[in-house]
Amino acid sequence: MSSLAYVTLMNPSSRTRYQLAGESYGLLVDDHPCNTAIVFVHGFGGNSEKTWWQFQTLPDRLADTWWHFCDFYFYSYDSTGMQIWPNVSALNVFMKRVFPKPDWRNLGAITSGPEKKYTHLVAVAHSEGAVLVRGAVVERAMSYATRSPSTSVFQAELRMFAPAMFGAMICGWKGVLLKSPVLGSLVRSCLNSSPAYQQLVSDDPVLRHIRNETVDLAKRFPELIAFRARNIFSRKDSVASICPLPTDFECQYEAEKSHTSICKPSTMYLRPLTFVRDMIHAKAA
Amino acid sequence: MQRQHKLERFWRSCFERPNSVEGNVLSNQFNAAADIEAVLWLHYGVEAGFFSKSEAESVLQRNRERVLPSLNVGASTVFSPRLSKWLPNVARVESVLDIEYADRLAPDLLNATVLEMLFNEMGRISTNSVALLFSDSITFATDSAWRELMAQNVNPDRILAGTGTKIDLVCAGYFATLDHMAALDELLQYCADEFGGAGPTLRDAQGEQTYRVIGDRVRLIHLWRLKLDDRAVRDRFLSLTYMLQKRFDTDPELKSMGCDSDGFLRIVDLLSKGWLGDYGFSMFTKFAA
Repeated sequence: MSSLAYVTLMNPSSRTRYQLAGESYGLLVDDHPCNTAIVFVHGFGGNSEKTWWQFQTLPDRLADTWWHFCDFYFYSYDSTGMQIWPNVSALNVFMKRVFPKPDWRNLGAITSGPEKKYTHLVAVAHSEGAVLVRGAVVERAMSYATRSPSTSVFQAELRMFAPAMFGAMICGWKGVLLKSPVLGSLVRSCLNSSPAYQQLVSDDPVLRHIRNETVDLAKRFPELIAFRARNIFSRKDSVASICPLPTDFECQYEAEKSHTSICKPSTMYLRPLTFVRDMIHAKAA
Repeated sequence: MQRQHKLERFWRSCFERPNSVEGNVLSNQFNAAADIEAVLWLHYGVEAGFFSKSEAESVLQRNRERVLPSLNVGASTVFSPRLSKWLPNVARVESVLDIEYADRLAPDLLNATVLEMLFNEMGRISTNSVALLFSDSITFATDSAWRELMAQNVNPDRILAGTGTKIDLVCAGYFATLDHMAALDELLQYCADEFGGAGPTLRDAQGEQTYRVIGDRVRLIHLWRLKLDDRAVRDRFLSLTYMLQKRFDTDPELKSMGCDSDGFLRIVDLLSKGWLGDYGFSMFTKFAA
């Protein structure tokens, strides 16, 4: 699929928004069955809406019909106030309730959604969200104890935008203040109360555990692609430490985007869409 | 030998500064004022017994060719009028100990360790390229150049990296200077407390006097780098401070964290008071008593 094919915009196909627990929501195709669920997980201080601006609508306006057979789930969580592992577990529960069959009642939907049965799962994450997704896969695999993790969830495709697997660096005005010994107190007290921020340092034991377990599982089960992610970083990333896991696919780089803009597609910047979609297309072909 | 090494190191940090910062050439006026300041520190070091007189004279002798022209570029006007009458003689080797300060320090009055920290801090700020550019711009830029600078976009990540356009570098220098102001205030307090000797918990009258004398001399030599007692410089400093406060207020991340930008102004106000040694002064009318 060439990127050129994407630029022909069409009338958007019809989707219905289902508000789920918290600020999570689903955008589901109305008029035909879908085989793929895509779960979007935002990063530290992010938001289920704005982190993914245009992912909500742009795919449906493209000539590529692959997107028209995908349902979108935008997951929301407390990225600053909670520690990483409870968020990992909560994401795991959410994914179980979405895939392979949405459990509308437990997803917190106000009205029951349509009957769905998915055969493919794609997890798309940004920054800290990538840590959660990798952690959720590890946690799910751990539940299989000595047995081989064999369910289709381990065939999930992982697409990580600027993953913070090796921690985050300070940036922005927050970073300017933090770097100053005399002004740092203005924001330090706020950040010190953020357990997730404390854990987003490369040698944090939780982060290290997720990295080590993921690499170990990828080596033991090379046929299960959920243990191997595709990662894309901004070359100018000033937040996430740029480093993929050794068992992941070859890393991609984007020259012109920042840590936050790398995952926001537009008609002028279609790479987020091709990054999520093209590999799956190539595999199917 | 140790004293000579200290003197050489300090002199190099003051004198061997960069000519430009990321392509922004430092003005002749700034370089001249920085040269004069370096000589004034040399005097002070000798007076306080930190540098030996003969070694200081030797350094001055070696650098006369550069120091003398520095006195002729008009930079001396940024120093206090209290210094102006003898500034023309500043580079005379034989004048190293001839300065008629109102309050002279007895040699070895101060704790040498603390004094070394003070000179290290001065050396540190003298080699901080963004702080140099900040001082140069806020003191010597023309009004139109300053206005042009303030109209430029500022990028926090470039400030953090100490790169980018001139306004990014000047802002980086602004934050570096605030840190220096805080460090200097703490050091002056430390000097006075160390002088107190046996009673560290409560500074005695002698300690207060030492604090005043040292602070007064440091300001006489060093205040020109951010001349807050000058109306034009203060207005520029305020305009930059308010511009940054506005950025903090509109930054979604800081907003979501509940960061209080008035807290930023309060810290700047406190640092300014300490820098000027005038605690009745307030930069911001909202904090004026």
